[in-house]
Amino acid sequence: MLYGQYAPVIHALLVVSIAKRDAEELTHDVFLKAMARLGDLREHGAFGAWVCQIARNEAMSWGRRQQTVKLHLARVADEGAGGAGRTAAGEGELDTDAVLQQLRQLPEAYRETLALRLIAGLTGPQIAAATGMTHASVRVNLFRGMTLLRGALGIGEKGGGP
Amino acid sequence: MTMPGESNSGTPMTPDEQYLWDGSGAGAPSTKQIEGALRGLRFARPLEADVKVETQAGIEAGRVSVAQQGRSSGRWFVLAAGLLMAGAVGYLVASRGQVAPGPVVTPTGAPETWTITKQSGDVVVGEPVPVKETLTKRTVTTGADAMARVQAGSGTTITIEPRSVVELADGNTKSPWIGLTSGSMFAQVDRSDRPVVVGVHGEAMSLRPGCAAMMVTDQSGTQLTCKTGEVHIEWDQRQTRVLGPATCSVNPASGPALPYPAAASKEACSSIDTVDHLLQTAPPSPTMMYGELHDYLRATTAADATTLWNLLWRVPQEWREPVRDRLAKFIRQPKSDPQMVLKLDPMTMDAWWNAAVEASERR
Repeated sequence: MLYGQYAPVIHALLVVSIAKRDAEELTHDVFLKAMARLGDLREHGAFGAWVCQIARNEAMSWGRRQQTVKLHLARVADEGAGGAGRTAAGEGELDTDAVLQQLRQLPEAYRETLALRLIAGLTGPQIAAATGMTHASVRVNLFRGMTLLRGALGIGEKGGGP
Repeated sequence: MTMPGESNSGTPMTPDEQYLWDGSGAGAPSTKQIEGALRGLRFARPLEADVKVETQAGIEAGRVSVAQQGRSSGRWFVLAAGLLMAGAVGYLVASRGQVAPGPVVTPTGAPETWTITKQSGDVVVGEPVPVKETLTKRTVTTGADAMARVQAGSGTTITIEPRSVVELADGNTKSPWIGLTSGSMFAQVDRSDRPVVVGVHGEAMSLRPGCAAMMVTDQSGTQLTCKTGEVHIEWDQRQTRVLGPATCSVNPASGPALPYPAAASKEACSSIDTVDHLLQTAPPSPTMMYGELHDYLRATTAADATTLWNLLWRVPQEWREPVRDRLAKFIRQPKSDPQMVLKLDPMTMDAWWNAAVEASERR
């Protein structure tokens, strides 16, 4: 079913752009919007890239609808201070919100590809199929993005960069 | 073309890279840690029972049926809100073009740089506050549904939109100066007038003659949309020039980002964003920075000539040469010594900017 296939993709793209509590609600909206505009899609094979673009646009207009970016940032900051869905970090574990916060700071290309790999659980080839990116681009985004994310979190293996 | 098991450079992937790519290798402990932390965010919410969506068959037929009775009241609310917003936007756009002036509210007295005209709603004009011997500043505040228009020179107009606070400098200034404290405004600088300087977050944007630009600002920063003409911004000895149509965001802490030309593709914007991000944060490895820069340069076209010029001001000196060489491919090279570009010589950079503008317009 399309929803089962694409909802995690849409959700992963949204959760790195807007507050977590809003991302789930908006996932449905994006999917419904995509379905309602399905007639506009000329090439059926491009559905993944198309729905990803709708998700990005919705995330942006969601931010605008909130009007003040400050409000959105405050909500994001609230999550960092212990919002819903927070996972407490045990010994040797990383805090979910801390990692999400750093992931949100990455450039869009890295942020989205890593979100699809690490949050949605897609493999590289699946990300390429879902977004319309080439395998090479997905690889570059994954490897460079992960190097940046490790650096931002202050963890990782030295010399592991590309 | 890379083969399975190889990275983009043709070298075999490390087990960690293989794990990242398709989950088949042994992930590094840090990769597992990060993945473990983010796994909790995975989407698990099923589709609501009252929302039915056709599957692939529906796509093939180009049809869709969405039943959403349970959410219909919310939808109507969203629709009503949308109509209201559309109405408000329509009103703003229409009122911006109105010619009929309202009452002139500029207080009488010494010769003023600006003529302030109320367009609608509550417009509050403060008393002049002395800044220097020959310079005063006054604040103009617009209410929720208010708009004001200020004029300078022979035909320069600035429309101050609702819920905005601006400061106008009156007196002997090189150029008319207006400070946008909060809210938004639309400026049109007449071709025969002097540039208008707009101050935001302690930065000065110079709106050149012939420029039309919209600026929206709040504490988090300023979004500049240059429709035509040029806006020049100098920040921390780094120049940024925006050639319309283009957008540029200005962060109070890090200054102007690289402008996005309206003609640039999404891939190019994403690539600019990545390069800019790496330049603003200490890059973890020069190899990565070089890789990103190389990818961006390879993707550039004549449409990116002005972006390349802006990039010259941002990259470290040792990386200016490939940027200059790429820019040189798209422009008619000025007679000045190209080596001076690497030193960011102001006159040479001006000549190269003019050539980049010409290349963008020739395209």
